[in-house]
Amino acid sequence: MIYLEASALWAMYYGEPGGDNVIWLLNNYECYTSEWSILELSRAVSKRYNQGEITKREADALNIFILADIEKLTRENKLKLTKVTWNLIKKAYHLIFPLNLYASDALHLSTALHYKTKIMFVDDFHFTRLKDKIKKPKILSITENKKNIQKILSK
Amino acid sequence: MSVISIRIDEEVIKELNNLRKLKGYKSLNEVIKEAIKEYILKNKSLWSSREEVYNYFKKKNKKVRGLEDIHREEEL
Repeated sequence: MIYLEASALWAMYYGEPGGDNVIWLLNNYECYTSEWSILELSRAVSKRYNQGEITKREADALNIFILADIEKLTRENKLKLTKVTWNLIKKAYHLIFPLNLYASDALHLSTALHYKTKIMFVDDFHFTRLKDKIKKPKILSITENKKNIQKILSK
Repeated sequence: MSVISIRIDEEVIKELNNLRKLKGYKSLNEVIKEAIKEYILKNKSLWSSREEVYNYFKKKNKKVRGLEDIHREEEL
């Protein structure tokens, strides 16, 4: 099972490095993410607008597009949205201090662990931040070479 | 939610029913709602696929950025 952290999905929608790998993953593997990712994506759009990186029109269009596309991906069974449950919140709560994680990272990690994820894909920044802290699931950067990803996933 | 009535040709209904079976939708209602959503997205959105949106911003963004500053902003 593959878990896509919010930063991996954002890379796909915002033309970031590795975003093309995420498109490929969604087309070839069953992927999971938390419902929470949707809010992180919306916040990312707002932030880019606040910073003047994108226009109001682009922000509106991107917000509409992301939500519709996530719905489409779930309908096509390419992406499963996992619920944010009290059980996962409690698990995340107990990960924050020992691993010194951000709240969102802890929720993604607790979700990935709960669903016995094999690999959690993140962007380069998260990879640098998490790779030494987390042993399971395997953390992979979305900028990893596609052949290496295929090799790891086939194991 | 509002309810609307529309007249649709039998041939179109037949095609829609074929698509419904093919795509695994439970009812025609779902197919039509889906088609309306796609129509709105196509006409209101600047992009029609995730490849398009990815390439649009890839071209636009020179800097390499992720969600890091958003996390930093919302860190307690």
